[in-house]
Amino acid sequence: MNAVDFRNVSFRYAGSEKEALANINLKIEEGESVLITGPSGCGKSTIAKIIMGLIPHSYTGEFSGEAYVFGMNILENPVSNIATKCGIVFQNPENQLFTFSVEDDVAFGPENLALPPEEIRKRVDESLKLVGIEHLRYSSPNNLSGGEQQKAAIASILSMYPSLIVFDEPTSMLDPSSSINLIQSIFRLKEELEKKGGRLTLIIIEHRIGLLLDHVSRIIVISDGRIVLDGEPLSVLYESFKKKIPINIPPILQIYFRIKDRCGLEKPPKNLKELFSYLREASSEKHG
Amino acid sequence: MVEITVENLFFKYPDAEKYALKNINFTIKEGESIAILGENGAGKTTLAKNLNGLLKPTKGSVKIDGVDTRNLSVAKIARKIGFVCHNPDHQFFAETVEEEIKFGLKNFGFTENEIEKSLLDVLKTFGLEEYRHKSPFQLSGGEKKRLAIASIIVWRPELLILDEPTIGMDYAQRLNIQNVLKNLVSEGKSIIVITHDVDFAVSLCRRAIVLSGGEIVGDGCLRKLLSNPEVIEKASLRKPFLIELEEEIGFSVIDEDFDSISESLIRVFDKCHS
Amino acid sequence: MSFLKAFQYKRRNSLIHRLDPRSKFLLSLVLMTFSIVFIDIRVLIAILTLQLFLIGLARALKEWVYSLRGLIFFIIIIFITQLLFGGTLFMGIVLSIRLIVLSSSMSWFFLSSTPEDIGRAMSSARFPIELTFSFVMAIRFIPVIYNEFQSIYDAQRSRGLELEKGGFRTKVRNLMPILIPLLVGTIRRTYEIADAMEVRAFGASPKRTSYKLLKFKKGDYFLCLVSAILASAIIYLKIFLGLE
Ligand SMILES: Nc1ncnc2c1ncn2[C@@H]1O[C@H](COP(=O)(O)OP(=O)(O)OP(=O)(O)O)[C@@H](O)[C@H]1O
Ligand SMILES: Nc1ncnc2c1ncn2[C@@H]1O[C@H](COP(=O)(O)OP(=O)(O)OP(=O)(O)O)[C@@H](O)[C@H]1O
Ligand SMILES: [Mg+2]
Ligand SMILES: [Mg+2]
Repeated sequence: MNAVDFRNVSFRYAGSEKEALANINLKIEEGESVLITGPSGCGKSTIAKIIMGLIPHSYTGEFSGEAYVFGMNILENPVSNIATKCGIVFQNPENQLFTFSVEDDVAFGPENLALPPEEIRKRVDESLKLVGIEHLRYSSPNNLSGGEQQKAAIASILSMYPSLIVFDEPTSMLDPSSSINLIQSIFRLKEELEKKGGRLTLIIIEHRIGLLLDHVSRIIVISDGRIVLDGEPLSVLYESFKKKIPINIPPILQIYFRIKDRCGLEKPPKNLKELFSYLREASSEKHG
Repeated sequence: MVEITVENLFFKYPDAEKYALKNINFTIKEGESIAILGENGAGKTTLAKNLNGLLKPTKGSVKIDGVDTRNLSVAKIARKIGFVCHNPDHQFFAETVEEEIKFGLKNFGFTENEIEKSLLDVLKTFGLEEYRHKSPFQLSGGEKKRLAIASIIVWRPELLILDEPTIGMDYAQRLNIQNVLKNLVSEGKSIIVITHDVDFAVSLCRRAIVLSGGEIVGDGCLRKLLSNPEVIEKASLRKPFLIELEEEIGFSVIDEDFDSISESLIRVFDKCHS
Repeated sequence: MSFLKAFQYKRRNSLIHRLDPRSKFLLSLVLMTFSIVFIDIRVLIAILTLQLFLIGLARALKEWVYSLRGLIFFIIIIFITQLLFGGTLFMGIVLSIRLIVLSSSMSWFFLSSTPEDIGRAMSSARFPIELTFSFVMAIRFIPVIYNEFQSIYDAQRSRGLELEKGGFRTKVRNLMPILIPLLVGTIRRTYEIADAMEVRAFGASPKRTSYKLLKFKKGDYFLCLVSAILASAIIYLKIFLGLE
C-alpha cells in the first residue's frame, strides 16, 4: 500500500498570491525512508501539513487535487483520525508542547489512543530513553533549552508508535552528537520493527543532507512549490549540483562532484580519508 | 564600540535546583568574532541573555563598558548589543514584515529618511523584498529566521548576538548570512554566534567560548579548540570539515570555497607524481 | 502579569503537591464557601490563617504574595465603591480580606495540582469529556498567556522598547506594543495548541485512558475529614449561631 499518495495537489495559502505547492504528484510506499529537501520557502512544511490533513482542515487557502494517507482521503478524515497512523514533529518544537511536564506531554498521545496504563508507561519510558532525556522527565517544557524541547517533541510522537512519521527539521537545534544519535536511533527503531514484521515509513525534511545520506533510500528536491528531482540519493545530489539548486550538499560530495571526472574517481568517498586514498590511487594509475 | 566584562558569573533560574551557569569569566573587546559552543543544555542561551541584560546574574557581575547590567535597562543595552533569539516567533508582533523591521529603529529615534533607507537595505540583503507587506507569521521557517535577524541588524548595534542563526537555512542563505556577518566584523563591530553548526563557526569566528554543563571548558582560538579531541568530546562537538581537511592535506584552508579547495586538491595530487 | 503565577501549577516536592486533586478540591470548595457565606472578620481571619498554613506547606508563600499584588487593583475598587456608596472603612477592610480568602482558596488548589491531574480527577468523577477538556484547556492557558507575555516583553525590550523607566503615563503608553501582540499571540497559540493536540490523536477515540491513576492515600482521607468538619462548622456557625 502507498503510505502517501498525492495526486495533482496544489495549495495556495489565503492571503498569498503565489501557490505554495503546484501540481504535486507524489507516491511514497510503506516502509520507505525519504528525505525531502529544497531551498527555504519552497513548500516542504506545506507538504508535511497536507500529509497530516492540517491543510486544508486548519489552514485556510485553496486546496485542489487529492491526497491519501494509507488510503485515507485527507479531505474526508479529521486530523485526529490520520494521527492514529501518522505522527508529525513540527519545525518549531516549542509550539507543540503544552503540558506541565515532559512526561505528561509524551503520554498525551497514547492516552488519546486509549491504551492501557501499563502500556503507556512502557512507551513513555522507552521514548524518553530513545531521545536521551530521561533526566528531564518531570521538568516543565517551558523550562527547557531549545534542543531539550526538540527532543521532548520527538519523544511525544514516538510514543504513539505511528506507522508513518514526518519529521520537519528534527535536528535543527540538536548538538552534533545528539543529532547523530537521534538519527541512528530512529533508523535502528525502524530496523527492529521490520525484524518483527512491522513497517515504519519515514519522511524527513532536512537541510542537513549529510546527516541522512547513509540512511535514506530516496531524496526529493522541491523548488518553488514543485518537485524538481526525485530518486536515488547520489544521483539526485549530483543533478542538484549540476543545476546549482541551493541545497546543502555535504562538503565531501561538493569536492567529489567537482573533481570526479577530472581525476577519474568512480565511487563517492564516505569521508576525507577515503577521498584521499581514492585520489592517490587514481593519480598513480594516471601517472604510473 | 562596546566592551563586556563577565566576572564570576553564576546564574540560577528561579524554579531550578541547579545553577545553569557557574563561575563564568571572560571579556569581549571590540571587533571580535566569537562562537559560543556546547552541548544541548550547556547554558549558551542563558549566557547570551545575561550579556544583554534580559537575565541578571544570581552572583557575580556582567559589566558593559564598565557599568553593571543591573543598573542598565534592557532597552539601553539593546542600542549597543543586539540579540536575536533562537525562536523567531517570540519577537514578531507587527502586522507586516516592514513594520516588524521598523520597530527597533523607531524606538531608537531614527529619522524617517534613515528608517526608509535602512529598511530597504535589509529587505534586500535578506531576500525579503517580496514579503514586505506580508504578515511575519505567514512566513516559512527559514524566512522567519531571516526576518528575525534583519529586524535587529537594521540598527547596526556594536555587538550582535545571534542564537542559532543558521536553523532552517538553505545553502545560499547560510552563505549569505555568513557574508553579512563577516562584513560587520570588518567594519569593526563584534559578533557572538551561538551555534551547533561548527562548519559555519569555523569560517566566521576567530574565538570560541566552549561551555559544558554550565561551565567554560575552553576559551581561545576557535581552530585550536575545535582540533582538540578532549574539548570536542566534553561539549558534544564535531571536528569541522575544514579542519579535518587541513589536517589531511597539511596546509591551511581559509574558506569553505569548494571550487578553490577542489583545485588545490587536484594540484596537490598532480604534484606528487610529476 | 506576575499575579497569574499564583494560579499556575509549580512542580514542588511538598506534602500538598502529593495529595489527590479531588480531596484538595473538596477542601478548596469548603474554604471558598466560607468566604462567600461569612463576612464576620473573625471567621475570615481564621480561614485565612488556615489557608496560609496550607500554602506554606505547599511551599508557595512567595507566589501567594505575588497574587496579592494583582489583587490590589480590585481592593482599590472595593474601597472606592465603599466610600462612594456610604460604606465604612471597616467594611472595606472586611470585603478586601474576603476577596483575599476567595482568591487564596483557588490559588492553593491550582498551585499544587497539574491540569492533567485535574482532568483525570474530573473524568474519574464522570464529568462529560467535553467539559473536562474545556476546563483543563482553560487552566493550561494561564501559563501560555504568561509565557507569551514574558517572551514578547523580552523581545520588545531587546529592540529598544523602554519599559523600566519613565512616569506612569509613559509606562502605560509603552505597554501597548506588548498588550496588542499578547492578545494576538494568545489567539495564535490557541490554534497552535489545538493543532498540536489533534496531531496527537486527541478526539480520535471517544474514550481516553490515563497512565497515572489517581489514588486516595491517608493524607487524602484526612483532608476529607477536615473538609467535613469545616463544612459542619459552616452550618453550625451560620444556622445555629446565626453569624453574619
Ligand atoms: N500560514 C501561511 N500563510 C501564508 N503563506 C504561508 C504560510 N506558511 C507558509 N507560507 C508561504 O508558503 C511558502 C512555502 O512555505 P513552507 O513553510 O512550506 O516552506 P518550507 O519549504 O518549509 O521552508 P523552510 O525551509 O524555510 O521552513 C513560503 O513562501 C511561505 O512564505
Ligand atoms: N526558564 C528556565 N527555567 C529553568 N531552567 C531552565 C530554563 N531555561 C533553561 N533552563 C535550563 O538551564 C540549562 C541551560 O539552558 P540553555 O537554554 O542556556 O541551554 P543551551 O546551551 O542554549 O542549549 P540548547 O543548545 O539546547 O539551546 C538547561 O539545563 C535547561 O534545562
Ligand atoms: Mg519549513
Ligand atoms: Mg539555546
